[in-house]
Amino acid sequence: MEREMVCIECPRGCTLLVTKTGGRVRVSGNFCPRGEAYAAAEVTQPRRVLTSTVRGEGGMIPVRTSSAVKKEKIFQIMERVRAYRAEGAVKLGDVLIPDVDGEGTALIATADAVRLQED
Amino acid sequence: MRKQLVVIGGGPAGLAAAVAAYDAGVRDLVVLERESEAGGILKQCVHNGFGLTRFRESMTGPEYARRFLDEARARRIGILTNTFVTRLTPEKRVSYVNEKGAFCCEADAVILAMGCRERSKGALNIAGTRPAGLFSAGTAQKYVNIYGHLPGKRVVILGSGDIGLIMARRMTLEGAKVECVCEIMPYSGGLGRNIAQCLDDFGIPLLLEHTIVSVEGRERVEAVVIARVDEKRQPIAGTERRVECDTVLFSVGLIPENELTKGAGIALDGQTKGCLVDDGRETEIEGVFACGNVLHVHDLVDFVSEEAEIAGRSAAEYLLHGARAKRYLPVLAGENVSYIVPQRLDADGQTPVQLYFRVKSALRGAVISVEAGDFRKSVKRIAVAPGEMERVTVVPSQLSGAAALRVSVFREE
Amino acid sequence: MYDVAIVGGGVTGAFCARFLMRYKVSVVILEASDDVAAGASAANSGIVHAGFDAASGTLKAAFNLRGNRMMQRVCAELGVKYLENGSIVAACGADEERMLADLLARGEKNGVEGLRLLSEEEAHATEPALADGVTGALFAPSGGIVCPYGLTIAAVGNAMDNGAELLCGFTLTAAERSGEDWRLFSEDGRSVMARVVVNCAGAGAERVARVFGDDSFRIGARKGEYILLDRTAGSLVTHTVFPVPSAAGKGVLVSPTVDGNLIVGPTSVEEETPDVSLRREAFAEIAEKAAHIVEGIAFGEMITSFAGVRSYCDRHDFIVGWSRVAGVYLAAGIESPGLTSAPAIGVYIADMVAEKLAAERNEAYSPIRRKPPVFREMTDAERAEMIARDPAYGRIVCRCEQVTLGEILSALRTQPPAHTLDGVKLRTRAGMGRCQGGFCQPAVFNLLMREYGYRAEEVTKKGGRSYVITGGEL
Repeated sequence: MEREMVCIECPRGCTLLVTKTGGRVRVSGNFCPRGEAYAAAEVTQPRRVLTSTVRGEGGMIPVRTSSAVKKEKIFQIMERVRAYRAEGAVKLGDVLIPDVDGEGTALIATADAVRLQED
Repeated sequence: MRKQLVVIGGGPAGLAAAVAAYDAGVRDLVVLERESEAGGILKQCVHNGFGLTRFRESMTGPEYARRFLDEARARRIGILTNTFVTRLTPEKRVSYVNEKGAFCCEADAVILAMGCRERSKGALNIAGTRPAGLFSAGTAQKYVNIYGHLPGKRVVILGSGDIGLIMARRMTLEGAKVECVCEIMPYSGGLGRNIAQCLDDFGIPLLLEHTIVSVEGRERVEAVVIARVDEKRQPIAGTERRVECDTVLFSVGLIPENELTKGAGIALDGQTKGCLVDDGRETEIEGVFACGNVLHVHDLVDFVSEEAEIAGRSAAEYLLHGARAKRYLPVLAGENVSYIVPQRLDADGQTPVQLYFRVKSALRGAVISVEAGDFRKSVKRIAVAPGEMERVTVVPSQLSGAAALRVSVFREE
Repeated sequence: MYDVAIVGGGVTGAFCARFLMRYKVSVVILEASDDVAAGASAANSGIVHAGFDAASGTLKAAFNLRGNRMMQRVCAELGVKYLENGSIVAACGADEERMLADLLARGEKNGVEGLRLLSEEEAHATEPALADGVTGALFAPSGGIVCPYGLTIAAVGNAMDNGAELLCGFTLTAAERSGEDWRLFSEDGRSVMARVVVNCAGAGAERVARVFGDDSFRIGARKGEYILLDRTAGSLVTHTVFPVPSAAGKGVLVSPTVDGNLIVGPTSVEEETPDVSLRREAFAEIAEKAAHIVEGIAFGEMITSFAGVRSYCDRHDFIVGWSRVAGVYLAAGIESPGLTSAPAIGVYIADMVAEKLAAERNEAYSPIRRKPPVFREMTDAERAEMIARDPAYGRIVCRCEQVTLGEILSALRTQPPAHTLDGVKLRTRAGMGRCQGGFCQPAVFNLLMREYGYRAEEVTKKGGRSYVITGGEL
């Protein structure tokens, strides 16, 4: 199997060529080792860092997953993110949901929750 | 009021410039920020991918902004929020207003860091009605990420700029159906990685050489008519297709916000729509510097920070050591280069200078060629594209005797 | 029970109401949309015509001239920007120049003062941006420009300050006689009683007349498409430049606006049922036609394009006065120059209705509407003073047009109050600049929610079902 893909690890956006023969994955076109790792994951178990927002008392709070989650689970995880309501003060880095994907990945606030301003 | 340094804008550019100026010895400075919080547009860019170049880690917009805000706070740099600059004069008088009144500050140096705005839908020749449901991508981003309102359920996006791509994913995650992204050019204006992770991941079609020709719906958008375009970017008759939707997002380019600059009589570059600057990011007016998206639109905030630090250090140099007579070497955009910044170099500069530029058309396998008198330099790239800013480094003092420096980009033989 | 119900909150209805308040009468304005100036009163060129265009002896000619002469004072009283910038009709070639002579003769017969023909040289000296092909011109010093929706809003506001009422969303669908009076029914079930009705329904005037059993005239409609350019392009011309008129109308003009933009248009499109959608060919057509008379229009500086539906009457003149139905007055068929004529029509109708009602003069009437503060137009000292009085005037919400929070709150709290994004835009210019609301729209949206207690999904762009947010809450 051969697949071409754009690496999303950095803005360089290398075009990677992945060849999979049996259990062996070969990657070319990558500028750095991260590209190879990305491509290998893409053809076995693609993962993404999920970013979104949750509703807090003073307005929306930006959040992300502590590490990449399985791509196939993204909409499932979004359901939990959408249902979540943050209470009280929230600081950047606070863990809001300790295990958001059932595999131990946390949902983390990426900003302090501040009062919603009219602008 | 008097200040040594006034920084106009508290986004990533203004904050980094202020911090750099402080670290170079300037203590009497203030940042004027029009919103209620510093951080600029990063506040609403909740996605990750920022900081990869600068910090070697993937940060979200708010996290990246916070780093610089913390740096500014640690230095006790004054940031006046909800403060709007109404006028800048060539004598560096900065008029501003906030809830406390209307003020004028006499500055010894000014750094312009006002950022950019989205090109509006009104600037496009789109026929049809003008109902509710037409948003600039960034406006929709603010509704979603700051206020928690989802603009609509069925979306067509015009323009494949990064904000449009990011919003395609964002609205999809929140339950909207993005029907397609139309791009009038034969290539995307956004980063390749954003097409991969924002469109391809969700099966959203990117229709290159397509545009929206008209909007339907009296009160709220009901549909758009899209069509393929020819080489002159004109819709081809017979290729029209009606796409039902309730929302249209426009991601059709960014324009530096230079109203204050124009008011001060500072000349702009017709291509960048930003000031003409030297390698210290000094404009034609001595002591007035510019950096970030008000100077030229960057695709990565990492480069904004880098450029802002150059401006901050130059402003400090100017304030602490006084103006210095400079010999200038013009920098020219050659073949397949749409613009280049800075537009002139201090010919006696001893330190390496990064030239930032954009290509006019995408190439796979490209050579960047720098010519200045007898000096020649060429650098290879795997690929270049108009959506991705390129950089090349030169040392001005090594170009002795050259009348100008020209950067061109050729297809690799 | 009202003495007078005015059907239509456009510029004509606004001035009928305003001048009626000079008498001791109770007045209600019934507006089908959710704001005043919803139809042609918002989407037109904003020209105060000198009066040389209308056929002599028509009501149009008479009201145009009277309205033109009233405009400066009316605008001063209402705090509306008005500029007597002068109009130029540009002729290209001998055939068109001969038509200038006809226009001059007609204008003089209509009583227009100061008209004169300009030679090719004089024309180009007077207006340097005229196209090379222009060989002569008619100059009308009394031509002017005004903000059409600003004028309408101010006139309604002044009427309301003097006691008139405004009912928005009142679509008149039925009328019943009740003795000498009329009971008027809205589509939504509301009704009001009035002794006298004035039909100022613009494009809807024929439909409204039929509600009262009057089918004596037909209102047709044409679409007019416009392009509006940024202020950076606004100083190209100082005068309003018209082409020589044709059977289709006055043609595509090029004019500065009172706010410093450049307006180019309108086209004139006959359609079965004209709507406010722009045709694809409109852009090229406007540019091509405008290029005949003015050179160097920076179409790249376009900030918006729009269409308006302009009504016309099968009688090709205004219908102003009594209708065949007792108790119903008409101000119908108010095609161009309707904006210019509106104050004169208002006075005429008001006096006529007051006489019929034997109404006394209202000594408490004030013609002055206090102009809401405009930050953009203040000096630094005035700004400081204004902010000291109300800090909200130190908060800029719309950066392109420098509109403050204070001005937006004022637009929500001054008669007639804005209830929509467009309502705020028309009153304050927030969202009318080069970014077209990209930055300030969410802020205005939030202010509407806060002021009226709307939920997010209730806020509209321009009333009705023009909801801004249809995807719900996250």
